[in-house]
Amino acid sequence: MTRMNTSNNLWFLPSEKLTVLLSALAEEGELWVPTPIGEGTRFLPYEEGRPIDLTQTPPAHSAKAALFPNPEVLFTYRREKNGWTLTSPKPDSRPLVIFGVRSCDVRALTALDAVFLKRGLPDSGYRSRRERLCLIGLTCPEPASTCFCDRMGGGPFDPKGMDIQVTSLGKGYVFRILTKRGETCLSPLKDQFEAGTDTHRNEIAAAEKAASVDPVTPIDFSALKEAVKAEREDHFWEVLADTCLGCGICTFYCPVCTCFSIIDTGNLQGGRRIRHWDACLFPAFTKEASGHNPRGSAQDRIKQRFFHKFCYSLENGEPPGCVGCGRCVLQCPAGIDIREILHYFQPEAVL
Amino acid sequence: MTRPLFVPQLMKIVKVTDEVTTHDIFTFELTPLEGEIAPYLPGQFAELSVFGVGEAPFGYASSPHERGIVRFTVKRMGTLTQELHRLGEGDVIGMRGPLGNPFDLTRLAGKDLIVVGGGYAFTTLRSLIAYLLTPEHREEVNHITLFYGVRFPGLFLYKDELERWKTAGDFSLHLTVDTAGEGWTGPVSLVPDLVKEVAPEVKNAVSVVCGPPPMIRFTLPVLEALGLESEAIFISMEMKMKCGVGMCGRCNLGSRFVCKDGPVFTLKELRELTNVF
Repeated sequence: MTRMNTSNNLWFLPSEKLTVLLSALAEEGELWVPTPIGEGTRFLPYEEGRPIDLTQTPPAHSAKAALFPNPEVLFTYRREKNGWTLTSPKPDSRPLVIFGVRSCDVRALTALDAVFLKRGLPDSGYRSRRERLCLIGLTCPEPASTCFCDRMGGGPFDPKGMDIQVTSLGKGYVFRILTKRGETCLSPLKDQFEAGTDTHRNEIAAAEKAASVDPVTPIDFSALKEAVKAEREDHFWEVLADTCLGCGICTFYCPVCTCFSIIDTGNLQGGRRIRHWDACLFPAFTKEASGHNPRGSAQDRIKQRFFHKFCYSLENGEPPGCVGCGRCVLQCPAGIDIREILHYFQPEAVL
Repeated sequence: MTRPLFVPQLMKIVKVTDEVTTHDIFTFELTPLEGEIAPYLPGQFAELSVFGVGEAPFGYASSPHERGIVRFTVKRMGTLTQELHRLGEGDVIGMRGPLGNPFDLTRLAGKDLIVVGGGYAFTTLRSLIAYLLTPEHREEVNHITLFYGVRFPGLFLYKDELERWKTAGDFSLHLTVDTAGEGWTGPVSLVPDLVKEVAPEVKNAVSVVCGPPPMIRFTLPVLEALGLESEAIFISMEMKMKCGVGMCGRCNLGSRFVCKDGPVFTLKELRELTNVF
């Protein structure tokens, strides 16, 4: 085995060692991995012996559940003789590692940070998970035809936000250590690795070159915002609202969507108050007890979704609400393609 | 230790007042079972919890000068309020608050104040007026004119207090109903019509409006016709909320959140955000 050179940020893991590595990481903390479930891959806590899938691109589900659990227990309540006892979940101090997360989902975390950390008071659960987080990302040598991260300011090999970026090279995995946190995470397991070489470096560069198609015109978000705002009454929205079934599946697959509800599960004696994912496309989302609904029509709701993504977020200094993962394109039963929406408002953007 | 964001403070119901002749609006007076009442100001709101049922937002009806207790006036309407109305003195509920921003008293300072309210949304206006009528704060604003309308006389909230306000100094009280009865001798008029008829002096005035959407919609043009600028009209908004802290995605008007950026907005701000008014 080649001795590890500490100044070398490329670490090579032979394929057969992956399971050893994951088991060791799972010992140290909470490890989430892309797990095949039916036809799609979902990020789930690692379990010894359960297969993982590093090939599906993008993984059918985003990684947002690792940071924004669905559901999340906010506290439990129990009726006692003299009132109520409320108990918060025990804080977890173990590292939280997401292995195999793609650049689109990593970029989406900046939008989640904006909502849960910066918009107002920080969300304690999210903050704790974010502080414990180590992102071991994975490059995408074969983006899907629905992927358009490169138009949205990212790219299949974009390392931004990752602590470690892994590229699969057939015979093994090259781990590119990007941050101190990434190095700390893997240091105890250094023995499993070989030193990365210039050959590895060249192979990654070749894979990156192969993954990028013709030069693309990235979306000009500021111009997009103005265009969408100017066309609030455009007929386009009416057509889109007629097409949309209001099923909300796009919001559940979207790595950026964060709308939630808070409900009590249990009864008047005891139970849990939980937070679960919800969708702005559901009529009941904003319907008030009086029956009044400020977003009473399908058009109101679909406008809310896209205005939030492309106008309100930018007006509030938050990242745009789309990272180009294309999952909504794959999932929409009515065939709504967000790229067509972008194209309508910014025809010069090649999608 | 600070309380986690979504964990409410336990509050004991110490008094329940049946406010109206339809017996569907109760005022709950609460004291904390643990800790202190967090400082608040008129215009802010809190999320009230019935454990096992859920949470909903209500504006403070009490004023901060009323020490040791907080009060919320709640109309029986949906699931949460049905359950809340079943509770009585001694029962314990949860409270998360204060949330949102108070009426900006610096922008009311030194002005005549025209308060326009309707229906059970009057609660938050009651908090403001009661606060401004305390000796410590009365000098902060000049003349107070209150318009307050309900569908019929039995629906006025805080009847004893309204009685006392009739004789308060530098204070004009205009109560109105849509339909008379119950010995009503006052005006029978919609709120916007009464504002138009009384036509209060607006030269050095600001207005605060809270009520059902149609009342707001028809009152705003009247106030503007009297000469109030859209920056001088403050409207307290309501929307369905879950989190109350700008995260859950329900209560935004354009890019602003009723919970976190409001609930009080100027008419000018609202016009920039939505096409509602």
